[in-house]
Amino acid sequence: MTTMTRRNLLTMIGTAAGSSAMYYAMTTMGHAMPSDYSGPIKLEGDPKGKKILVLGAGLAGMTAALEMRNAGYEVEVLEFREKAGGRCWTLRSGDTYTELDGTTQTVDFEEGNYINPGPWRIPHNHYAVVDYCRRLGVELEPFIQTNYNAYVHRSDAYGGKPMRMKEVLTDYRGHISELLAKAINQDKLDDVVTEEDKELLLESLRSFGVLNDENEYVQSLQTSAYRGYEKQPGGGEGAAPIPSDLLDPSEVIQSRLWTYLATHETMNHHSPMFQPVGGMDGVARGFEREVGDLITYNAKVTSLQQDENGVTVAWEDLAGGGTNTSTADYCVCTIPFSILGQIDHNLSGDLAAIVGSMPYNGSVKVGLEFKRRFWEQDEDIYGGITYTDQAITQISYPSTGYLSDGPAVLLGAYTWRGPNTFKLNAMKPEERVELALEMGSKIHPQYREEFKTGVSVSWHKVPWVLGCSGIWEDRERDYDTAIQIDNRVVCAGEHLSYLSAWMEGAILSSLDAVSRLHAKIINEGE
Amino acid sequence: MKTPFLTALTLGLFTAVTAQAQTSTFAAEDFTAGAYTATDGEALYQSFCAGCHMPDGSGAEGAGEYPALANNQNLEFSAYAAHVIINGQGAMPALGSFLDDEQMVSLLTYLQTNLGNDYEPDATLELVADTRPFDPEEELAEHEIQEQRRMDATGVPADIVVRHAVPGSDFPILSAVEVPRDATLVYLSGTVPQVVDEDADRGSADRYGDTKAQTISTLASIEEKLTSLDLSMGDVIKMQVYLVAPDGSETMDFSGFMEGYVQYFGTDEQPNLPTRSVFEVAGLANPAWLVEIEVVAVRGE
Repeated sequence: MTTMTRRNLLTMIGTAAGSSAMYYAMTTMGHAMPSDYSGPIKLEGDPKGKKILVLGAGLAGMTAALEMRNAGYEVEVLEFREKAGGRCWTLRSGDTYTELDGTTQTVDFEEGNYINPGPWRIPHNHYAVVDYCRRLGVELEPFIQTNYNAYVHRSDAYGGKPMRMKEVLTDYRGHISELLAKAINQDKLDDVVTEEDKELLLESLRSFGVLNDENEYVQSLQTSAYRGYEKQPGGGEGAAPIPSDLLDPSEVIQSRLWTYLATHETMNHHSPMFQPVGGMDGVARGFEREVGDLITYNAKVTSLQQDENGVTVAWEDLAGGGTNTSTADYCVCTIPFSILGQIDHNLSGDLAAIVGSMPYNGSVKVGLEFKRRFWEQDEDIYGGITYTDQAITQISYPSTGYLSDGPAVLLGAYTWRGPNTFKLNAMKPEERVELALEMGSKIHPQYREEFKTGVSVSWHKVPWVLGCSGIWEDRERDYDTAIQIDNRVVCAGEHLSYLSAWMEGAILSSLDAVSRLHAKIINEGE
Repeated sequence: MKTPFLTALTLGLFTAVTAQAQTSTFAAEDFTAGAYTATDGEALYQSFCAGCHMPDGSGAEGAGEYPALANNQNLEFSAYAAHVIINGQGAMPALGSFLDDEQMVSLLTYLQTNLGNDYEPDATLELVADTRPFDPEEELAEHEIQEQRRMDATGVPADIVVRHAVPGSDFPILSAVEVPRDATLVYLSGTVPQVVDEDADRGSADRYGDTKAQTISTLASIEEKLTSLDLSMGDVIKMQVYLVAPDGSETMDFSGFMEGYVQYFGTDEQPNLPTRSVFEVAGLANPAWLVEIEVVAVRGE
């Protein structure tokens, strides 16, 4: 095999060892737990006939409404939009959506096809979301995050040709294992590996890296069983398999395609992941079935005031016109700080300062509908994600409806912060769709031929939130202040969690907020 | 000076290819560079700011609003806009890391003289540079690295140890350390805890104390050994720690170890930190030992 520089090797090993060591230390200290949900909350005690006003009917707001009503409170919910769910949102055939600049898109997908502009996958370790889906009868199906037959792609690697993940993954692992085995056999690791561990380590490398008995990673039926064959084993005449060539070790490292392998290994992406059948807003609909009767839609909150007697909220009726006032004893405010910071409120100084200084990051998604599932039919890719260094960053294939004829929708772009997100935000939806086609064609040449229609959402241009998720100026410093009950108002939402931008963060934040609010109310002398 | 969240996202994701950004008219080449490469003020405005503030600067209103930049009196002096763009304000993220000083000046000049604004442009490179946030730690780290390189370049052997902090974290270890080529490395054997309670039975847990107490007595022994070699704790550059789970516990007492560790490293008296690994092991030579520590020190710093 060709030589690999020592720096390359050390970088790889260092990265792997360092991150796992750090992760172990963090879980030991309790900082990186998947979720601190410990089952349904029980709000016991006398709510004393109090009324709770919930601002916002996203997942945080509806969680609060559901739990507070169950506890015996009178609950009223005000929502800016014409429907519930907030960022838990699905665009499907026939929907229209108007961005801040007035550009309206009508979703022209085939009946049943959809795109989730916001959250689109549920980690199994997001226990609260999963539990609410169970309780609310939201049917989940597997979401395919990791597909070994999907691609990893960089414009500057392998001549810009997309590479099957299974090949890059297996060869990356195999070549590293061979190198490590060599180092061990040349006694290079004697200061970190004991004599008795040596043999065991070599044995594990043969297993991990698919090395042969001489500790070499070579072309063989064995390695092909992991990376794919030149010709797959079959039955009948001429059925014997033919092993495939390996990628050059140095080129695998130089390609940097390994950068895309780790995403799948993070807890938020561990298999299995889920999605609601028919679109992510299935979660919102589940909540709405429970608390929809409490929600006033098309209500734009313009003022939030509290004093010793209660909370008073003024709101515009965007549908019927006019200004209304709602009053309550307490308020759970789930309005994103990007909006709340512009509303006339009299929250206390420390909290007000945090509300007024939380930037919201951008994110852009593009949904593309094609006339047929060419990724399945031509390329044997069923669900999963292709990663690329182009601005679109990834292509996610539908995790449902496999083998069906007719049009299907894939996620053709998903940017997250960064300059490209701002560039895309400054473009019209059809320009973003065009860009996604242009870049996606580098991976799937069928794109242009098969394209049917597309839709795009840029979160900085979403009128009711003006961003994708909250960014802390200094979370360590501000978190405890931001989640405190400020006299009669407590704020909640993904922005007030350590699971930013995840639905789990919104629900956990809300559960914690209403639990504290309830404790305060039942313990207050009257 | 980049803010941490932007740095993480812009690091090494895209190939650097020269591309001329244009207005909002789509051009795939604009994206190959990742970062903003345009130097023209209008091109920067239309591909960056216009998304929220609109192409004509009229702003937009939803549940909240994006302020209009057209006919905006706050643009009379560029210092205000420079501050908002670089550091962010309200829901607007800090965007200074996307643009260099020249691009900032072009953009500010465009804002002051277009979109219905007719002010005397007053943006300068100095103004922009002075508006960028100052991070003392980052400055110091940059200074140290430059110092090291300068000495190498002039052919004089670098004689300082360069300690790289863990970026964006105050966890008291180094992410890396560079040792000059002519330095002497001193390896200490594994050091184990001292008896803290002579009266306790041999082999009993009380004899050596809990993980924290054992960490402290072990580090005290290491300090003694170093002193006898004319070295100090501040010379330690590498540490390997072996911890045993205490009786009745399923895992090692990492936080107990940390409580002892921070009494010796990263203090006001002894601010130096080592690179470090911590391992949980099944057992050590004495069943009552919960801690064993190896260190490497460097002489001649």
